[in-house]
Amino acid sequence: MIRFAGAVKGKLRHPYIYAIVKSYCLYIGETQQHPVSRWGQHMTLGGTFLQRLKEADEEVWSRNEDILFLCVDCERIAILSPEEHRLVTRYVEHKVHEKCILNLPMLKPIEKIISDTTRTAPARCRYSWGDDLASQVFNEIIAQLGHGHQ
Amino acid sequence: MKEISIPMNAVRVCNAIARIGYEPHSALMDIIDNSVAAEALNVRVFVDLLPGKTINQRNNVALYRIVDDGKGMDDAGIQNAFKLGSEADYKPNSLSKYGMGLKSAGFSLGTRIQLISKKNGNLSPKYFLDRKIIEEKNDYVVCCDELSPQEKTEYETLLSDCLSGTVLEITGCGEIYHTSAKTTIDKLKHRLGVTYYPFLSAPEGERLQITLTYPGEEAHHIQPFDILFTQDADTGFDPSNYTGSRPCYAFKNEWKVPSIGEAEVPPIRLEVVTFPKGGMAESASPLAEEEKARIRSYRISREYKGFFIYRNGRLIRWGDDLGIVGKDEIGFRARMELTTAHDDVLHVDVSKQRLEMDDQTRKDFDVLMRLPRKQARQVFEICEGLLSKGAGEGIGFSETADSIPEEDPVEDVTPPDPQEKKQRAKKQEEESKKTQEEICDKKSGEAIIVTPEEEIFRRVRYSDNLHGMNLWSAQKDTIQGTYVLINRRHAFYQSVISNLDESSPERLALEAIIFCCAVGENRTYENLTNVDGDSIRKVFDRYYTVFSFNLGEWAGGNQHIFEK
Repeated sequence: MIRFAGAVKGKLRHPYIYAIVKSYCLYIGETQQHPVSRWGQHMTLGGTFLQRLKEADEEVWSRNEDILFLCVDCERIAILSPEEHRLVTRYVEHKVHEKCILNLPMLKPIEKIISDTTRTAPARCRYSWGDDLASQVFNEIIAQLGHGHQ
Repeated sequence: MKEISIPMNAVRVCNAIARIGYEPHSALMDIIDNSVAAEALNVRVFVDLLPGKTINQRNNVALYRIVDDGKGMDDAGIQNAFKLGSEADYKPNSLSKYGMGLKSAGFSLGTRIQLISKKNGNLSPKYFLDRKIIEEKNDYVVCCDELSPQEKTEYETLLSDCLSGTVLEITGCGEIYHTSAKTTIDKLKHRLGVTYYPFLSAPEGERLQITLTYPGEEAHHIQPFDILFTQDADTGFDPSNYTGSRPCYAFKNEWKVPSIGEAEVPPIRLEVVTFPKGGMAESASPLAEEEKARIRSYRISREYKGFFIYRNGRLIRWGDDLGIVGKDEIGFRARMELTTAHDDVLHVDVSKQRLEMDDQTRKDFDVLMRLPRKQARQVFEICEGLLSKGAGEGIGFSETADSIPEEDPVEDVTPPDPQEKKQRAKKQEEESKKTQEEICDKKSGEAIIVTPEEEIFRRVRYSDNLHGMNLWSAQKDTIQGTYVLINRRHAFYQSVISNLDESSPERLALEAIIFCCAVGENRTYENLTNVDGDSIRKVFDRYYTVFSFNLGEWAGGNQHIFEK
């Protein structure tokens, strides 16, 4: 018996927002490369995701249970000039954090967001669609959580 | 199992509840809460002073009286109100919570709390809780006494406009260490409009009215005060176009906090507005007078920064930084609207004046407030830039010139001949008047002393029409004293001064040097009366000619240093 564990399709260099979920903990991040390379870093012992998870709940960290990886390809950002990609993606990443915090009950079973944007959030986005894009990413996270990926 | 009822020490309990951290104004507001909870629409607060005390003295209050037109209480209701932890049948989102407010707030203000209430036209006897009697009896006893005919008339008059209502009186106030009545009244005037803003600005028929009566003022009406000035606030912030004249929204959202159990918790409404620097209202600001006046009304200061937290429409926390807002983020102002449902999530404490977030909630909140805080800092940076550019050449320095006494430190040692001094001063003033007219003739409106918009006398003025090639010319005004005209045609102005922002520290320092040279010249001419006046003039003329020539040569030959 087998179980399909998921597939990720995307360009090697492109702006992505991703989410990693284990139990009730959610980590949100951004990357300008195919997310699997970033996820690989997160999964190493010193990786940020595992570190934050251990800080948040050592028991959840130690359990051998499903970890969900989600990513959204931000095509709207990709059409901007390359030097703007990171700044705009980071703004959207921060706004996704904001939306998740403001609407945490909608993200059930998520109870805790273990990532933050302390060092990375830019003050603003010169594009008015930045907030809309964040809403789309947020809705996609909700949809994927709702699809029973938990 | 044996159940043992433990009696309480009434005196110690009363001492404890009186000291849960009230200031007189906050205690009075907790009592006003009871009136609001009793559906009163008119609340009158009276403060009477002890005989012989002034309003500014400490411990000067004889009586606090709060009269409302709420639903009133019958005898059982009054007795319940005096109960420690009174039985509650609160409406949803009532301002009351634990049934302790009347006793704790009352005993923080005085030693005796008295209630007289009218219910459907029937006036109750007077009920009172007196700490001295409680001490004597060592029991928590409420006393009841019939009203004397005079008292009956007095309370009937106070409650004549309403079918039901309550009069609460607190006496024995002089026995408790208090700030002055003036301080309490000022704080109430200042804070009631903010504290009850939603109630005071409710639609007609539901609108609360609060009046304050105290020695010196009869019925001061409290006006609603929107701490965020949402009517004035721009919906967004664009740093490239920001003029520093208006507040801007930085955040407006609803925060759906996770609930405990099944019951759904309503969202917390959160609004953040960032305000321009208070300095934008001062004369160095490039804004128009009307805009400056508006900015002054925002009261931008440390006292008015942070989170203004409302619970059920009533402010419970004034300008709290919640461990998030930095001490210099003065332009950051937020309104957080909670209801009773958030009490547990945010740990609202017994006096309802504090809330404690757990670490996770605080961390999430920190993320939410990150960009609004950045905006607040950026708004201030832009304002600083605008202020350093100034409102016109010389205005920035003129604002600082009060600290220059224009004195001659050797005048006392070698006193001048008063007659000669007077003549020389008069001569100088006449010459300055002539110079001013000449300059104004050449270019209308230039070098006006005081414009209608600015109330400041310009001690340093700039002119394109100054006679000669000296860098400056010392002048004297009959009333204001020395001022100086700086020559815009001089190379030092063109290469150096004009490249500095109008209110930059460097420009102010140069203007201070030039102004003090002019003071030195004027004072020397007036006070050195044992030297012939014309000779002094000749020395100064020659000195400034040589000085200005050499400085001009240097400035002309080194223009690259100051080019922007």
